[in-house]
Amino acid sequence: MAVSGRTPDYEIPPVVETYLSVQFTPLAQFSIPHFGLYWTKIRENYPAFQVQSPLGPVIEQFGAGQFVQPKLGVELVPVPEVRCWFIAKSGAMLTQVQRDRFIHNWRKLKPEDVYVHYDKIKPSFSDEWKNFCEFLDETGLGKPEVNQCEMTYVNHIELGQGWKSYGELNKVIACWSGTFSDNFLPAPESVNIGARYILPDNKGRLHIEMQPAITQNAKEILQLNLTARGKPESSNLESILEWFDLGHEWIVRGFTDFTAKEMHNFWGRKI
Amino acid sequence: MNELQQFASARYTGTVMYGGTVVVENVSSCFITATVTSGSVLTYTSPIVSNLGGYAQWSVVIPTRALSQWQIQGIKRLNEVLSLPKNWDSYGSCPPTHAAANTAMDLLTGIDIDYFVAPRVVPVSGGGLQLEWEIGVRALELEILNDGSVEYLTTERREPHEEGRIRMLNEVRSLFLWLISPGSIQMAA
Repeated sequence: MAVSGRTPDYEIPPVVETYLSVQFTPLAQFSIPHFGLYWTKIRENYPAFQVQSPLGPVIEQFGAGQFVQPKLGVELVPVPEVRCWFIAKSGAMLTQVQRDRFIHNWRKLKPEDVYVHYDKIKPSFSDEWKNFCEFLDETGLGKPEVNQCEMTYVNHIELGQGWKSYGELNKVIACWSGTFSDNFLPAPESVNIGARYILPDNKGRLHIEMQPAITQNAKEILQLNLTARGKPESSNLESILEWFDLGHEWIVRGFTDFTAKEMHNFWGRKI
Repeated sequence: MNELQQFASARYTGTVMYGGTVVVENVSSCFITATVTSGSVLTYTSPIVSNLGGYAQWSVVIPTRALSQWQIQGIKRLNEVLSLPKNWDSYGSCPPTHAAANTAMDLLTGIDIDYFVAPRVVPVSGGGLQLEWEIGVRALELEILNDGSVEYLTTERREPHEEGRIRMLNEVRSLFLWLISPGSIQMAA
């Protein structure tokens, strides 16, 4: 697929959260005290923390190695696996760390908050990642061997804002015609959509998931998540950022392709 | 005899494939206190932490498919009340506060009873709101004050039965069960 020119942009995009995640081979020596040591390094900017359960590894596979035998089990490990959230003063930025992941999130707190574009998020991630790698180096924990990069955009498309019911889903999703072959079925009560696309040269996948949901302030929404995931050329920062550039392009262009022109007008498409 | 306490972590894992995406799920993560006696006997006490595997996503939403029909109806009614303008009662009242709205959402989404009825949702002057159920001869009113605290009143045959303050979500579950217990329906018949 040939892509060129500037990526689409909107006056009021429905993005409520973005995150950039780097997954690496588990750091063998990284243990509970290191969360505290790392926090002392970033505490001025991230004064609050929360302990969360860890995320499992996710790997995009291609070709012969694509089949993996499913397995289930219970394992006892000597050290509790945890993930730590370090929350910025503003409450809008978050850094998440676990033994094999580093994640940097931005979220919209109030409806009037302006979406922070990728060209602002990217340097912010870059600074935090460099800081984390410096910490690992200083404490002798080694250099992370990156096996996946992941980027997600979370969009909330509110019911009543450009569409009124699932009978009007064709106004939201470009490839949803809203028509039936024999006109037997009524308008759907609810719709979930999941789609996957392969990035060029098997550099990863774009996952699109749409599900009806309700926000904490009782608004009915469609949550449309676009996640790009794949392996960078190497573990160095340049390769990671290069992969994120590709992931970002696929998310933004994918979002525009997947959603309908009526909603683009509603969100004030500029480019 | 040496006794010591230590932490162990039990992880239920599953490897699944979605197309070409391999996902290793940590379905739960438990920290278990283990008492080791004479180096040979392990006594496991109850888990002190048990969480479902999470997501990297920070913003919280509730997927509609995780909710029962009564909860969805209740949330729709709550949304209407939260959309009230200032001075909705012509006595200068503000719409329900964020604290009241958050508590109402917790009450509507935090109880795992599949078959129930959606409440009436009514605003209360001063930024609060009230959730009301009436089944058979019994009725339950949960008044959510503007600071998010909750008081309840139960009635039977329109006579006051019990009132008090709610501190734990589980207490509401007991009230729901009282409301739908066979006694309520039989007395109505």
